[in-house]
Amino acid sequence: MSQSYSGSCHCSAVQFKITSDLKEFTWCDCSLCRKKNAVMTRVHESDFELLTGEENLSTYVWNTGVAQHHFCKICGIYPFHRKRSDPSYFGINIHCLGGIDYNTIQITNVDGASMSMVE
Amino acid sequence: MEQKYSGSCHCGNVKFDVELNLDDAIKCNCSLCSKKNAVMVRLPAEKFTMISGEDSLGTYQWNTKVAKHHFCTNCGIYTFHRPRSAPELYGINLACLAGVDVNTLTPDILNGAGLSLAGE
Repeated sequence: MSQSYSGSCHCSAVQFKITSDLKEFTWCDCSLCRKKNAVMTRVHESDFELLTGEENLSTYVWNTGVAQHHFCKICGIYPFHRKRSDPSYFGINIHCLGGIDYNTIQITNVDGASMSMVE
Repeated sequence: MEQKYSGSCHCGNVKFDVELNLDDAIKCNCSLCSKKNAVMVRLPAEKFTMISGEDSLGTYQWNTKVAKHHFCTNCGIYTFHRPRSAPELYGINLACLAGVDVNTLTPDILNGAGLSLAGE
């Protein structure tokens, strides 16, 4: 069942909420995600609301330049990104969400490393 | 066994070399480290060499403001920090090291959540 979850970076400058059934948790092995080591879930933009902190978001783009990887300018935490595979979806750092029991979740590995690289 | 590794953020602005033992890997359960989900090793300053990108480093401080948590201001990647409990050391994000797969490591859990919070 879909529920509302609140999310934030560490310093709380960036706050957001999502509506999700939190069915899918992923870990991606592309060169960027490996360095973030984040477990993620994805939501459509219609289920995502940025509450505060737009001015505190930095954006990193690389490779195809489609995905938008955000992080908080103050604390450096990655809260969410716009996905390359479908930019109408956000990938969410589940460690930024309250109310999740991490011991009960099942994580699927995503083969991001085999996505095409701009040569 | 202690080995030399090259480290970098994702965009390549921040580069550093370290000498460390992957058997010393830890994760910390404090509120900040939980959001980073990083696997780390601590090492003395003489085993850390900054190669480039000092001007690209952002620094976040909270709570007692002793620790310095660095990240690349261009790509956002947490590269290393100076720990609160031992500011003379460096804590290294092992996922930034070439040739290291953090999924193959079995880190000990550091009880950072049990450290005091300022003002409480």
